[in-house]
Amino acid sequence: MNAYLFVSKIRIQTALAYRFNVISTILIQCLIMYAMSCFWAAAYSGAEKVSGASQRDMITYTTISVIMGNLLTMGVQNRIARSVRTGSVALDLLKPVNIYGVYLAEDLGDCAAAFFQKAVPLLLVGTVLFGFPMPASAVHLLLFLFSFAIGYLINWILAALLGLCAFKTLTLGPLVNAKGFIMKLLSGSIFPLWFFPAGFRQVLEALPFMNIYQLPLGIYIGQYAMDEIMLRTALQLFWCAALWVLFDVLQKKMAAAILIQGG
Amino acid sequence: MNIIEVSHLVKEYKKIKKERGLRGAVKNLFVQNTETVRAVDDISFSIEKGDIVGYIGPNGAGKSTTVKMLSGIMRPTSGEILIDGISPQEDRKRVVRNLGVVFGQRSQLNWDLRLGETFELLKRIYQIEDKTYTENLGTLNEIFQIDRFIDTPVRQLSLGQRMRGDLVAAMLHSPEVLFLDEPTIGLDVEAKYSVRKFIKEINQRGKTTIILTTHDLGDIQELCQRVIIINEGAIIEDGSLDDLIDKIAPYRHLIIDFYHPVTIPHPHAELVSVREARSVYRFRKDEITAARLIEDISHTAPIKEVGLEEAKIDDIIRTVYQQGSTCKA
Repeated sequence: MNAYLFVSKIRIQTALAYRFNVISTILIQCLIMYAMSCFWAAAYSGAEKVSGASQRDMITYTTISVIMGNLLTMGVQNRIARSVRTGSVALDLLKPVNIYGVYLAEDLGDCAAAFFQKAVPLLLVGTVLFGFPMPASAVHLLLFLFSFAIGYLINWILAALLGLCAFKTLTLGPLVNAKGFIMKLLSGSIFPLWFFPAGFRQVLEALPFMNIYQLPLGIYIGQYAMDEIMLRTALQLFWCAALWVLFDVLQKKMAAAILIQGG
Repeated sequence: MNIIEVSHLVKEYKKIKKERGLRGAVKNLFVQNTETVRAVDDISFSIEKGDIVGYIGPNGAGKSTTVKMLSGIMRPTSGEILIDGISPQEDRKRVVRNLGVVFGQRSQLNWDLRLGETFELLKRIYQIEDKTYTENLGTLNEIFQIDRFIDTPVRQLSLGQRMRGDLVAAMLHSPEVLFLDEPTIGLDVEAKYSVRKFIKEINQRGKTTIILTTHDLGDIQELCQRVIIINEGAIIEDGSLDDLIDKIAPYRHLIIDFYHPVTIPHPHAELVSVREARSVYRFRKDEITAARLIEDISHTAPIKEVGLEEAKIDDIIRTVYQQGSTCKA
């Protein structure tokens, strides 16, 4: 087995050891799911469709969004910050591997563990509460999976970029939480951007964040026509590549400036 | 053949000067005064394959900074490092493949998993063949008996066991060069003994070149053919431990108990003290041997008991550190 895969495997093993965390997360997420469905019921109050999406679509949107939220938890920013502050980044750098590759493998391992521990139970609860959240079609499901994967990478690179700051500032402090809230809001994970006023929406759609939640979710519920899906996915791939290049440049710059803390 | 070559190595970093009090704190928000600190100041040395070299110096002398640059995790401000002909700054991955590093104060073992799991991970990271892996683990186990706790989660290991685990982890891929940063720190006598035995064995078996950073001079005395002493970023001594002792403390003390109180002077030894029947002579090793001295004196008066006192290594090293500081000041 390849070293990176083994790192992921170790993370899955480690995650399985923590059960309390799983139960409490699922309970809280169920509450959020239920509250959001009540919100949509009140907001629609019998209206057939708003901006092309039905109430049923929005409940599916919310359910899948909550599940995605559990899969898109990124450890990389705190991982870098902690390694830099304690100086253990030295140990990571002493291995003949790409350290960011290792960090990505760790996050993917966590993601895989979250899939079984959180996503599957949440999908079951969601199905019991509101019926199975059906995708628009099988093709839409496949396109959703692809879009989700690219969204995952974009989300990871953004987190890693924030993590790089830690090499300079040593701590990230409230930045991590601030980024979390802003991303949740701007990525359409709670409210799809199509409910926002046109001007504001155009600004948000020009940013990379909507590619993480709204694009895959919109594809899932069939909000976009096929040609729009193609165009937006191309744009999403462009963002992913552009952010990757930026990250690579900064990461090389940072490597030259690394100071290891502690004797 | 020199496996490690270091020439004119310098590491500078900027330190922010914080001003005192609330006023200072507010001022610091707007203007920051930085000063440049030279942690490593023009160091050059080379190390031959198969040597064990003690790299010692007081706290903050620049030892760890040097080790970090040697292993490629920190870039020097200027100067050149070659490990087996390769610069770790240019090709970190290639250099670390042939490097083992143990930090006594930091563990590379995975806290949550059993010890063997970390070894399995390292096997994949260094792409060690199954056969080589089993062989290496077998050899290391022979010296260290780690199979007794290989299935224990790392967080349940004692410090001594953890250190053994870390040493084995660093040697699994049979690196040619091993950096040990305070490997005996905090260990009890027994664990210290077994760590030193381990270092000796791997040095002899595989001709592993070892650089050892430590504050425990017992480690140095037992293991190192050569010591490099560094203070305030510069090398102040480089040579064998015996030469160093001869240079700093060329004197030895001979204590003689006679049957009666007597005073017997000797042309090649200074009579330091005479108390009742006990006399203490100070002499230089290169001027006269202890045997000769005893013989000469016993011609004059019968001797009951003799004792020989060497300069203490701790005192010698302390003298070197102090000299180093005054030189620079």
